[in-house]
Amino acid sequence: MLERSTVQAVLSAALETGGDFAELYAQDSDKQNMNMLDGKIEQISSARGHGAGVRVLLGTRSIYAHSNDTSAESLLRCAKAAAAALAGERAARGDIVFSVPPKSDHTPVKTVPSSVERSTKAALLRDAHRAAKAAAESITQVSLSILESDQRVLIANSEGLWAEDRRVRTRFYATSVAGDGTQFQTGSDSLGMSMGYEAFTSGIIDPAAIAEQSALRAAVLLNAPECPAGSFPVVIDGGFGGVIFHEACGHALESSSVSYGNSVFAGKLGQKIAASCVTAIDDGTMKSQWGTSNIDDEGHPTQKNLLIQNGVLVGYLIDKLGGRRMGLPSTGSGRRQDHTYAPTSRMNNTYIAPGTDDEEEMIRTMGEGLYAKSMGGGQVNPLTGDFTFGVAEGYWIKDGKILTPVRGAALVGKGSEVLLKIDRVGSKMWLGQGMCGAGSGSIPVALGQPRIRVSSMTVGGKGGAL
Amino acid sequence: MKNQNERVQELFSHLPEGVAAAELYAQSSEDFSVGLTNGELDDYSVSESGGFCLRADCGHIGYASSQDPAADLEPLLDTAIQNARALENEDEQTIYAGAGHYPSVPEPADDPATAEEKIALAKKIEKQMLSFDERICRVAECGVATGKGAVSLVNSLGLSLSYSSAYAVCYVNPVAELDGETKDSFAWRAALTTAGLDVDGMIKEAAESLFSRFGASPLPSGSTPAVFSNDAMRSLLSVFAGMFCADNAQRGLSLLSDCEGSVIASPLVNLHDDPMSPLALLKTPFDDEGVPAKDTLVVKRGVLETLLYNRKTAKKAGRETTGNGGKSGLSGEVGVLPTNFYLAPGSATEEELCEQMGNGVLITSVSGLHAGCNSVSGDYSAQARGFAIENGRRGRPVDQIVVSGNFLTLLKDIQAVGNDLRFGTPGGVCIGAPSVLVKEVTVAGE
Repeated sequence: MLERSTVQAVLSAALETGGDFAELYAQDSDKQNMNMLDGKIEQISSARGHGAGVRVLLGTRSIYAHSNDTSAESLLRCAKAAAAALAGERAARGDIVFSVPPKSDHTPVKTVPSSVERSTKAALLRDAHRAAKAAAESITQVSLSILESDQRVLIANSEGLWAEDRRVRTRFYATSVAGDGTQFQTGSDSLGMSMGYEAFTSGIIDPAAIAEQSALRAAVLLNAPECPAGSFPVVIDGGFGGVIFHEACGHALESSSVSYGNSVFAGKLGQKIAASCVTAIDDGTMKSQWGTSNIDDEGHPTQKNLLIQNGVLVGYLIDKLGGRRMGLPSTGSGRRQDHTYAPTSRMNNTYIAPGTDDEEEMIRTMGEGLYAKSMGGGQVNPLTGDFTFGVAEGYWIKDGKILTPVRGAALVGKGSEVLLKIDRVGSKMWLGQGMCGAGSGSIPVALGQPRIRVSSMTVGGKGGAL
Repeated sequence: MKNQNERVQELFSHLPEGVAAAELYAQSSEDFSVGLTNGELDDYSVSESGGFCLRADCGHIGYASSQDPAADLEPLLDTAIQNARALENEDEQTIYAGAGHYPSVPEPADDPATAEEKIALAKKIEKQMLSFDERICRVAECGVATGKGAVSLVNSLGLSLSYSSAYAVCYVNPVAELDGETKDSFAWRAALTTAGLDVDGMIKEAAESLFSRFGASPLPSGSTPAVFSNDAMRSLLSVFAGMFCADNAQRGLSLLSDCEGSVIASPLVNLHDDPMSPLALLKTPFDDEGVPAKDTLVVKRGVLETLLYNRKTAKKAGRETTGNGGKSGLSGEVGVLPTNFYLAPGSATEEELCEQMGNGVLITSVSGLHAGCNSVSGDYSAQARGFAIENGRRGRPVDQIVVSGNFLTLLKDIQAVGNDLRFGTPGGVCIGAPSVLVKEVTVAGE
């Protein structure tokens, strides 16, 4: 991607004013999105991303300069612009000698998506469209997308690291709209993997099943009453249900929150922060998973990080700068969307580990409450842990039995309180995939959990008692 | 080496057979930001970004973009052509030859503030915030960001347009601890240059917002009249602005599909989309397909006069484009996007709206909107914060409540409109709203 001599000169220029660490990150990516609307190819976009960023650290100070022009001249200009923010003297140091550390391949790729004809992909979308239309009569519209990305990164730093990685990802996304003439409801489902087009041909991503699922979700909501509001026990299913842990707890365990004291979990290592049935992990090494990469965006190998063990906080997610602040080593969690962002601590694949509880028993014994089968997005204030999540597919439970689907449900609470109120953790864990937006841009993450129960939560909705 | 302009002209003069027209959209920007975290200079960033997007009309219009300024144009055009040929929709879409007259946007003046002065301003914000009230224990984040950008549009039909813009933004995020409770708040200001930033106003707003959060508790669940502050109303309007876009309507993704000419809101509601609005900070003289800017009255006294159209959706509907052809990002196709989209202000202050309400809730902030809103059905469900209003006066602070309802019902239930119109952060789609008094919302609390 870039000549070593150029990179040496750039890093050297970046350290000219007293920085103690310099890093160059360069990326080149191809993204293609192909969208089918109502059975016809509606849109195809092909985008090439390109650029590089130079980061200079002095202690815990960080300076970042980036450009989409990766000529030697432009990169030197970036290095000088970054160095200009410091006014010190160059610390004596010898030439930077690069070495390439060994790395694992957690994301093998067989068929690069761009090598597959547009007509082949169109045929796959057509089959999925038929499946969604056949799922329910009320479906008025189906929008399906194949999203592919192929990103090559180079990370080199003044400690002599030279690391390269290629991240190929493939995702299928389905949204269906159900209507009855007076109102619309939407349902979505998706699956993404760190794989090439073989994700489709090997059956790991089944577009027809995903499209059908999105249609069923929309159709179910059409006749659903509004969700009642109040305080109730809540059962949250696995897969994308893990968004609750990701948003309400995961972000508060990132060093970008913890190291500034902007987290309810700061200073709580070794303390009980969750119910004993809760063990939580962030793992950047899960084979071919959506949030997996071989190295993070600081060139550090990804790893499996234990966050909470039987309710006790045992680890944070740490990038290089956060590590300097906290006096702790990197956990391979320095991530960024592309060269336009400096890296910071982020999650990869985050989940609550399987427990021992029976999935049916937890509904049977909950009395009246909400079964959140599929979660929507959410957001959280990391300082206070206050969160809101939308429930994409929810059912009202009365006397331990499903009474009716409900629409418009939201879950509201505080991460630190909900963790302590989890009273059941099921035995089967699965993951969902999404894009996580935060300080260093939008990045692919997986999240998951087994089916769990929270003994009491604020349920938002505008319906009356059912 | 040829410059970009010569390369483009050469490409356009030798378009392959079957390509009726081609167009190059280019954007570039230079940005600077400095941020302090707990008093330390923590973020310092200098950037140059940009890229271009080619589109080719081969019956359908295909797109291909690149951020690499050294990228060859021919392979990019080839990708755009291949993408165009794979499209199957029946929409008629063409590249625009241009109109006679375009409003002019003055070239932005260079911001004379140096990097050192912007760092000094960030430090001043922190110091001033801390000394504003001794109960403020730290400033989690504060900073200053500035930038300038340019957009150009050149096509093989002879259109050649460009404009430049510049902005300055500052922000502050103070934290206070009282009786074991920790709360923070956020405030920002925007201007055309660093010197124009209203730092004092921002500090005062951040402090007021911060101390109003302590001792807050939920309200009882039920229905109540509500005043939405300008920020809260803007947040809601931002989520549902897509309802007014013709592409969503034509795809059956908007409740306003067949509502042009009908009453959709209270007679007090007037909604404008005006890319050149003197009330907004940034102005754009043409949209992303080259149509000149104009002020569109979308809702007039409660009646939906028109949706927002680009050329493609206008053609389909047999109407004129409203100049809302917009790309979301460099690579995206020209869809329909609002520009400066705002609810026109009335005459009452927020306080007067509360007095008029008597008893109810003043909602100063809503969050979690992307989780709890359905832009197709219009349903919203959002975490909210504010004050109980008793006999027209601010009572105890309220938080941990969820307000929910339907956005169109909310528009119909507006009983008074405030005079405090405020826009969101400048750039791209910019939504503005004043505070409003609403007859009834559903609150989930205790």
